Amino acid sequence: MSFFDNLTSAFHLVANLESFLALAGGILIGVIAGAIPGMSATMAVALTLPFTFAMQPITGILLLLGVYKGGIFGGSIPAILIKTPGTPASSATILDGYPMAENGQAGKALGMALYASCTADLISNLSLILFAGWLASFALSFGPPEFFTLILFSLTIIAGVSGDSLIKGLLAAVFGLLLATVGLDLVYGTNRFNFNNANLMGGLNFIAVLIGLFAIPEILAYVWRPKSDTEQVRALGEQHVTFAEYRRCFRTIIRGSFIGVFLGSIPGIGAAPAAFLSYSEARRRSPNKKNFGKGEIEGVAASEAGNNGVAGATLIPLLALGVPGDVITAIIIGAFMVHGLQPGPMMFVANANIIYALFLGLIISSVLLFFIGGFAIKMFRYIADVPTSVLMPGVLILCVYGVYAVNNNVFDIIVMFAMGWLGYFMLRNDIPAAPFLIAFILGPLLEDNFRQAMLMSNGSAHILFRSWITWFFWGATMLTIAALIKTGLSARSDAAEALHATSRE
Amino acid sequence: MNQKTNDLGLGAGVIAFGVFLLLYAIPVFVSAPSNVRALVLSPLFWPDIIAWIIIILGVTLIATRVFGPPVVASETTASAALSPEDTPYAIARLAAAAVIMVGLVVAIPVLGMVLSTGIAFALISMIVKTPRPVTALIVAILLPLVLYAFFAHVAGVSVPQGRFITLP
Repeated sequence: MSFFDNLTSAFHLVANLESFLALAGGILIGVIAGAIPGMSATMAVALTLPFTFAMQPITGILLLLGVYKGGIFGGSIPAILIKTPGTPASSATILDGYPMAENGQAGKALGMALYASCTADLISNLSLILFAGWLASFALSFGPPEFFTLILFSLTIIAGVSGDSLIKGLLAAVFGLLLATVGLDLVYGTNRFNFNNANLMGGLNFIAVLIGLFAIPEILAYVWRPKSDTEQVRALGEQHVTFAEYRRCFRTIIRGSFIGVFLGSIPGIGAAPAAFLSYSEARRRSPNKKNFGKGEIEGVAASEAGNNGVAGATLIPLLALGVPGDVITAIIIGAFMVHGLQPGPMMFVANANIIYALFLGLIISSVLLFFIGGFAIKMFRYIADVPTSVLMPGVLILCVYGVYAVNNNVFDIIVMFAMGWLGYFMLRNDIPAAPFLIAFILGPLLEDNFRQAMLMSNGSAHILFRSWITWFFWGATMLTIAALIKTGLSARSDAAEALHATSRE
Repeated sequence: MNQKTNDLGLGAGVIAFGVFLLLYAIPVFVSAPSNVRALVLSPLFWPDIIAWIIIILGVTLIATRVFGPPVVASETTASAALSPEDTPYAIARLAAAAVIMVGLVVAIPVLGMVLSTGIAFALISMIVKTPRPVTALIVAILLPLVLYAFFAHVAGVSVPQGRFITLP
């Protein structure tokens, strides 16, 4: 099919009420979930996934993308109004958003957060459209050795930056790889850790693992320490953001958006570091730098542009290479797989119409986010009233139904609970869950490409160094490890000094 | 237990698990055909490599905690810390949650999904001592029914009905 054929087909896929409602509904669910402290965008996407099984592929994926985008913006609402980030990505928004709310300018801060989010989201989506196709056409020349080194690089960076400790991140990733070996061997079809149980022959169910890892530990953490249901919500105030203020912050928003796009396109970095980097760059360059941290509107614009700039860009490695850049895109890859689609360079050839439909849907999502986000800001008082003591048992019930719906099998519920307790153990021991899940997803791909490469070379490891692409990824992996060790050591030295200073006092 | 002791225990556990994999779990639970032409192609190769990496990471974790600078607990770990008086109650709540989860899995084929999830909702609300029992009770009845309606009638999932109540 030609470009115009694909575009026409994509237009037909998106230009219908079902897709439009899925996108709008997804954004609304995401904004509400992001705005509820205790829920997160990740949990919202994970819990929405089972509801997409009965939908058309494009409708289901648009629903999840809507939840993702809505969730990232929604996190800024409680960050500004109750000093509690709805998602980790909104942590930087507190720095200036909450002082503005204390000064009676909550409406202005939330308005700027919405404008910056929508602008950054649009830039991020356009970057995705511009770069994903180019990267996919380049990746068409990849063979098994190139994919093996690419996945190894992605796993290293995800394991390194997901938590406070490189070793614990790597441990999580290695345990994810181990769990991925459960089932029948990819080449010989022999048993691996399946204990002759028919439920384990095909490996562990991906959705049971991800819901177990990301929803159940939150419920257990709440059971361990139930928190109060009431939060101090600030009033919106009478002041609203003006066009002059938006224009003054425009350069900061654009800079923050591109920081988000750049960091989002690298697997593993995520939205929170992008928000903080965008914020610190804005403070460094602003003429009002002394006002940062005390209620500077430019600070809100910078952090929101940074974290929303990531949203579209994380789909670049997902769509072009088939490698999820963070946990949410790892869940979205699950939605692709459930519908029989495999993201990666070949999807741009075999299912180009779906790719173009996603691009169209994403552009529409930026516009919808503007309207739905504005509505959610006004409704926050009601959203914040959802009591956690009712929300958490409700999440448990949603998890049970959602996981059962995958295969109509109670065994998947058992896997989910087991993963939930494992996830809670990891949470209590500062072991990040993101590398575990992403390694679990990429594990079969990593092993398959490794063994294909070995089959091609009759067992010789030289094939893993056959091209400049493999050398590039080996070099990038080594550089990443060196940089992470250096950063980790200096951070620990700083922490140790701070600890000594505290104990001296 | 401070962060260093905790991590040392974790490292020791990780090493023990890696050794268990190498010496018992992989030889017993991973089968390989006898005609594999190269070691790297064997179904055993990948699990073996993973087990060795687990052991190396466990040793590295212990070494960094013994010889490296002191570590500080993360915000998540610190926020989970409770006073000595509250800790036994928290442990009891967690144990109760575990029992509810096991009970739920056992109850689904007998009582059906709607009834067992409704009871699980009510029990979880009880153990966290919800300040809004009436809301919790209403949601415990309505939420399973709404989810049943969606999954059974919209998504076409065969939701377990149980032996006592049959829903349309």
